[in-house]
Amino acid sequence: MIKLENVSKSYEAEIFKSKKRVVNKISLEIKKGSITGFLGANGAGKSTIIKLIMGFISPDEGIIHFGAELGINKKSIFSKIGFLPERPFYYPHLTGREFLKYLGSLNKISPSTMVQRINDLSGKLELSSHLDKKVNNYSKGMLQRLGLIGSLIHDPMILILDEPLSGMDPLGRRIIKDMLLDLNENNKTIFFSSHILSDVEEICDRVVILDAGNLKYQGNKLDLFPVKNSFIVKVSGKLTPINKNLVIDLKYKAGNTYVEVLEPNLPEFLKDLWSASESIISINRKNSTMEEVIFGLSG
Amino acid sequence: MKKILTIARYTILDILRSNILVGTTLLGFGVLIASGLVSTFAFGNPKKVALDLGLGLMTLSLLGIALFLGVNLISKEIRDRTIYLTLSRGISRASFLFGKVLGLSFVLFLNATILSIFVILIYLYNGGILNHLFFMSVLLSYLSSLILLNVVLFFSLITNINLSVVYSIVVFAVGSILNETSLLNYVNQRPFILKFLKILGSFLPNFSVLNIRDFVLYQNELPIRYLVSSTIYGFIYPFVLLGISCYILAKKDLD
Repeated sequence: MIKLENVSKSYEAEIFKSKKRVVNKISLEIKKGSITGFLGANGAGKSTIIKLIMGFISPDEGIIHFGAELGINKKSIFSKIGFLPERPFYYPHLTGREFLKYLGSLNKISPSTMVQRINDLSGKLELSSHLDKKVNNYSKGMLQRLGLIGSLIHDPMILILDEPLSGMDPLGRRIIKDMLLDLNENNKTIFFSSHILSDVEEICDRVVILDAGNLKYQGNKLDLFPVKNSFIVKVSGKLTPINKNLVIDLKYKAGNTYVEVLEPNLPEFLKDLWSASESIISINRKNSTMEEVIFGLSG
Repeated sequence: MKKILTIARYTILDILRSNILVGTTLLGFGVLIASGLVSTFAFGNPKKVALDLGLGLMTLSLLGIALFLGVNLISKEIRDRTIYLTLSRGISRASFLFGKVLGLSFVLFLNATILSIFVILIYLYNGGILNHLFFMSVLLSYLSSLILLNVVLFFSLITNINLSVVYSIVVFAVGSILNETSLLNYVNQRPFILKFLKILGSFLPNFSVLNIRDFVLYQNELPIRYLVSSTIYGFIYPFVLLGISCYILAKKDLD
């Protein structure tokens, strides 16, 4: 749907100093129908790439392709994209409803459709009762939800969201995550940046990982998690292993011992436990978290 | 065009909700009170004092609003990332800029209208008789504020807010005294300075041609040709500058 080919961007950090490259020959693809999580630490270049896609800044090199389904000119392409910037401020003296009407009237939406969409979306995002308040009275979470409604009011094909969940309370995060999943089920393509791994892990099917302006990974989320060939054995009480060579890691916590053992060594380790009459509570395969995977990718 | 008008409409709404017109109305009452006070000391000619003070404060108010709202008109949108929400809908940067400037120009127009009503009331109360020059003076003051608005907007696109205000004040000061300075004997005897002033005058806005307050107060007449050419100048200069600003904004990285 949207494809970046060898895109680079540099900024002049200080006068008389050479430019700093913040995005380095990035090639990535936003696939139709996917929910793609765009991960990276602060300063990794996520927002810069989003600004490049949205045309707010120009690349020093490289090309950004928009799929034919989005249109052939800038106007038609961007009328099919919904965008939410990171920590935006809206016109403070307008009410939420006026602000949404402003955004809606910039796209070709009939007034009745606009009213209906405002009501539907604000209902889903639990903002209906606040729409007639001035925007300068909104909390951060309410502003994010207002921005999300604004980005959806013209019924776009693709949503590009820059840190939509940052700084929100758990309830607000849940509401937005449910909304994104719901939109994806209704064939909307979603691309959102985040530095919160658990959110991406929870709702995305594709992941793009950026580290210091370099692409570290892009692909299916599940391909990121190799199945580890080790097990965690939970044993009651404090355990001193008979053969320490069989053990990778050992932790004592809340009256139980958690022992990590490689799959080939598991039968022998269990035999030792039985012979020592230890009480085994559980045996589970160890899974990598996204955090571990990303730290692994970033070196 | 419809989108430009939409942007202008909501710009007006946001500015008006910020209570700027309340400030303008209060200033109008301030002018009333100040004129009343000053007129009591102006033996023999209270109406001229009232008119001078009224027109002066109105011009100052218009220039102040143009300067301090103009400097934030686009730079604040970029700083707060609000501009992204509009531009992400396929609106061209030029349309956005036109819409914003149109909105603020309308607010300036409202401001000029309200204050001129106060000035007219004071003037008539003091026994003055209105003529076309009074209305021309209001129009030209309004056009001065449009020029200053576009000057500060231009600077805000290429430098920071503080410097934009400083540069705009300098441009206003130089543009206001350029004509008078060129008439000085000292300058006329030095062709180099005269040439330098002519070069400056060829691209800096000439605010002195838009200031006809003295004629309103003391002469009551001005050639129609002068009035027409000043008005045309006052409309064309901001348009040209706005065109340059559009070009700069179109090329600018919106970070």
